[in-house]
Amino acid sequence: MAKKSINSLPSTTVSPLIGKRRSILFWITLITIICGFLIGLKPDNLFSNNSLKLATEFFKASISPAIDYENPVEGTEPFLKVVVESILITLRFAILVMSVSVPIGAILAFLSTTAWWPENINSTTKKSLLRTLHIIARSWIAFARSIHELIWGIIFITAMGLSTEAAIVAVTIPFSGILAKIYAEIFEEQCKETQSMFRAIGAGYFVSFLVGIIPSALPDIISYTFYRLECALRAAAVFGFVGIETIGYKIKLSSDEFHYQEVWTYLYALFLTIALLEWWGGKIRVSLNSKHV
Amino acid sequence: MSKENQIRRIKELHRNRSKSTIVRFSLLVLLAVIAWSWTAKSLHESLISKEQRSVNLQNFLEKIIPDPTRESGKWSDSLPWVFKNLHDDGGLIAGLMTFGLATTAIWISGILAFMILPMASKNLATHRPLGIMVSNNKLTNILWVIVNRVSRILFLFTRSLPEYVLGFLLLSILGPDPWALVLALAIHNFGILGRLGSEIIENNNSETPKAFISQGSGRFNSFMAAMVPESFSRMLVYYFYRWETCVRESTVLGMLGIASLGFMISEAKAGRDFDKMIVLILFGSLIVILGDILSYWVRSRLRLDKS
Repeated sequence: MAKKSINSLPSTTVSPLIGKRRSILFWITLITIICGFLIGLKPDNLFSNNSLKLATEFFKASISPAIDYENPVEGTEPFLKVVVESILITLRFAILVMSVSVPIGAILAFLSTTAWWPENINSTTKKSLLRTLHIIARSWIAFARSIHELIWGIIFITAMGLSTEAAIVAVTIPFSGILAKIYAEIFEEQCKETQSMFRAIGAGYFVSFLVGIIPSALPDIISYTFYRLECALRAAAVFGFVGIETIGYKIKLSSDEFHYQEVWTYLYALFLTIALLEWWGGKIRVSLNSKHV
Repeated sequence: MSKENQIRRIKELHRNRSKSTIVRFSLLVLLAVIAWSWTAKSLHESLISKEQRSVNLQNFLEKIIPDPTRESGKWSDSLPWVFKNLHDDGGLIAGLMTFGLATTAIWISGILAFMILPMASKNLATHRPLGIMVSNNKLTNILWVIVNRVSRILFLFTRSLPEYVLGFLLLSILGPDPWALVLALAIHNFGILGRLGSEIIENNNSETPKAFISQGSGRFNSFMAAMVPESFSRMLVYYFYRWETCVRESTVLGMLGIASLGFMISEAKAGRDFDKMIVLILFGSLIVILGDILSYWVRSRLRLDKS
């Protein structure tokens, strides 16, 4: 009898040496090593003498960022003024991009989400119209997102020549797509209770979406928009490499002359701007969230 | 309630709604900044005249039609040409290169971020981990504040550097080696993964890690044995989400001069082979969409595991 009861005890499973999590990590690592091998990454290339020397020089410069030109030329504007100006141009570019992308993204998000759709649509024409709009918006978003802003930039610049407008349109296309995708996801994650309550007391579909979904989605939407503004700032810096005179342009010029201390000043300036944005966005988010409590 | 009372009540409710000075102030600043950026002088004085621009555009639109189609007028004739471009000229290999760069880069940043992120999470790197007082030594208290601040700033700093700029700088240091691009992607994503990861740890409210620490376990053990197993799937979800953006980013990094898709695109542009350029761009977009689908599939499976 005693033996039987021991046998019927639930057997505790001994965890295997390579459990599920470890095997996932193992496969990821294996695939990564194969990839590294295929693209020709050689560990000793990283530590070749020449690159080590340049790297130490580069990182040494990080301790003492330049406050004046390393090779001053008479008659040029003071260095720090140039740094501030390039930051302002970068910020302007980012804000121009965002002020176009956010409205377009919001409209695309509205078209691509099902959050405001009536629960049962009677007429088939209405239904198919909504469906087509939905599919068109979704495919446009996927397509716009899948091409990098710099490639859109190259297309527009080769087609129309280098101009600020071309660059802004180029960044706006993928950014409005990404914003639309995230906005739509946020709309769909919200609790539907308020919306259905408004519907029940007779409000229209649009109005009940406006008062039932958007207010609760707002904190998330704002913090994502701030993150995108940060990305727009980085995109603006990158567009310096195709000729718009943002901070990236200055970084390229300084780096081409091996003035690494100047490069670090620009990098720190970019960092401070982004840190400031992050702090501001955090403040807004906290004050919006505390309202709900 | 009479009609008047109703109106009065509505007005009262409206007056008493919650207001936030910071939100209002931010709105004003935002509007002012938008107005400034639209009205200030042009960012780039274009040297090209309007006529030249429309000639350029016409030229471009003519040239993006594939060569065989331009000759015969049939789109089906271009299919072998597309195949030749992608297969014989190395487009497919360049596409694989894009995946390879992204995969290695995200692995490096994942490992590094994982090592630093417990130090950046506010609830662990303090003298009171998870609200439990473990020591009351002034010096160690200050030390923990410094550790936390430094690691957070490290994440923010690396995050603020764009991959493309990093790639450019690293190529000038390391020379034309795939390491430059991999490290560029890895450094930026290290900052992002670290921040996202430390947020996961900060939002972990379960009792197990607390029990660990109150029983005398250290921060590291409590992190490894109680927090990581609980949030493993969520961390992997972020890992794959960043992998997806790495794929997107590495399609352009090649433009800096390493043989990959971006390099072929800029070469086609320089040679004014606009038709080839468009084919390569569309191929790149296909790769990004493939990456998206793959990562979406993995992430949705990971989410299922969690529940």
